[in-house]
Amino acid sequence: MSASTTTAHAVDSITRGSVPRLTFARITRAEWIKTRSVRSSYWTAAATLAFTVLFAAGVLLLVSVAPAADVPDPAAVIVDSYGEAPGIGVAGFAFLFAYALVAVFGVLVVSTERSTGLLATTLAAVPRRTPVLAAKLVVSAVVGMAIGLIGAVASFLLVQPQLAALGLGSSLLDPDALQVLAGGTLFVGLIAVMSTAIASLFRGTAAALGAVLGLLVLAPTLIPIIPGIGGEIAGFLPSSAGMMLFQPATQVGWQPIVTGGLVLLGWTIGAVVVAGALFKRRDV
Amino acid sequence: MIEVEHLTKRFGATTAVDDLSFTVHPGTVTGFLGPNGAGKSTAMRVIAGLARPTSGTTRVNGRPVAEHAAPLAEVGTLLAAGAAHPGRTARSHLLALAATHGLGRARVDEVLRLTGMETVADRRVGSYSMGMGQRLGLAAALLGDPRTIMLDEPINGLDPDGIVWVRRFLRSLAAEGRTVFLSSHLMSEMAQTADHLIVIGRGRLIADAPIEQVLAGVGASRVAVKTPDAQRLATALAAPDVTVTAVAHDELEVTGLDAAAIAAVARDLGVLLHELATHTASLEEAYLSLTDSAVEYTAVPAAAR
Repeated sequence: MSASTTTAHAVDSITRGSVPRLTFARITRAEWIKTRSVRSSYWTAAATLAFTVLFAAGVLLLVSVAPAADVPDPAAVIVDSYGEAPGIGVAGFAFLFAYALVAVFGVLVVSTERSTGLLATTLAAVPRRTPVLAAKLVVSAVVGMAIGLIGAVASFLLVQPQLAALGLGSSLLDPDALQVLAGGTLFVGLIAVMSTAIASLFRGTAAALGAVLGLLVLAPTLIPIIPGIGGEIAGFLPSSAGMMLFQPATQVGWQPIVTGGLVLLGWTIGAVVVAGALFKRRDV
Repeated sequence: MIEVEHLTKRFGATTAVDDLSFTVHPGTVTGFLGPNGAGKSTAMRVIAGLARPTSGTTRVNGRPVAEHAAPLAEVGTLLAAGAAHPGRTARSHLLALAATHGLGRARVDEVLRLTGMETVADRRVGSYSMGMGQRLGLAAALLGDPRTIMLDEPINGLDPDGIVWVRRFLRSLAAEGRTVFLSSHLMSEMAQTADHLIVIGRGRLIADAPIEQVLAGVGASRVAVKTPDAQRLATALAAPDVTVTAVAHDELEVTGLDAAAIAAVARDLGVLLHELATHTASLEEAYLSLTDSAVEYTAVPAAAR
């Protein structure tokens, strides 16, 4: 089998372009193309933004309609609910609404690929595998962070004019605002990565969604019910701990923020390490 | 070129592939034949790097697939019709796959044209017939202009036009010096497509030879004779190397003598012949006799129960 006979065929468009070769940037680009070419991506993004904006609209309603009725001092009510800088509080709440949907997105990035058999096609093209998982984690993180950040900024901008009218206006460039936005964005990014990593362990979308939402959404509401130790344990769940990231440091102090962030980071790293090891080894 | 050496793959207690060794050479279409459950798909998945061998090694163009810098340019693989997300269009599916190797829109357009998919490329894959799914799988396999092409049951679900087209296409790829390796559980398919056959049953190698040789190895052709005087002719034909079987009261099946010899005997005897037909062992028969003992699930004839 001399090389000359096997390579003599026409390679037309391929030789005209760059040399076909795997690189991590290219594999990541492929994952990005996949993400933007299915409807589920747009649905989850749209649903996230709808939720966050609806929430902000609810606040607006309180601000603009409530005063006429039975709330004598709307500013006091708002400060009571959202703190001294309520715009930032509302932006922080956006991450709370966003994270469950970002988790769903993170699951779908990998689970639909496995359940449809596409993963075999992908891994036949990229048989080293690890870059495929890494690229999925990158896309998941970037999209998750973008959705969360856009939702938060949109919420802020929506309520800001009305709040300003009540003398409660604030700026997105305040140190607190920047910290909440950065912390919240990091939070949803880590949630997305963890969701994708955990989902890669499952064959079906339903099982993957169950596991991820169970850990991130159900556990934080159920575990605190356990008498005595429930509250303690709940603090170490990834989503409960991570939520500290978008509390204003001026109100809660830095220590719980850093601790919460590290707990979430630990969970994420753990999930990625396990996922990486199994993704590489398992038969597809 | 595909090289498989002492490949064994077990799933728990089940041995899907059992110490299998063979080489698939460039410039030929090699058929990978075996009954359902023989281990063809498993072997192909190991070659493609999708499943780990329990033991043994596989190489494509001299290396395990994972060690190639551009796997798509080495081996194009079609495993299980399409294997694509139903919500994505064929074009997006191919663009994503092409992107992994830095290939762009131009190459995607080219493989869409090659596989006759231009008009349906912007439809969602979920709306495709099985035949179109196969074409998409083939388009994906061709993306990297690979030196080796490995296809699992590529003809499944294709309409007759599609079958003829795939055959011609695979032959032309082999004629360009590429290695073409395709599996099937249907011998008749292989007869018209492959030059060389690798036959497996229960995970083991049964035959690895040019297609004519596989056929020839299955032995003599038989002659069907229709005559009103079957009894008399049968007696006259009897000889040590000749087997005569009465199929019906006026019909015999003869092996060991050719049609000309039988006609001569009949003439000398004054026996009238209504029909004299030579049946060369068909590929199906050759295949059945090869894999007879290696079929995982055999229907038990009603009478034998």
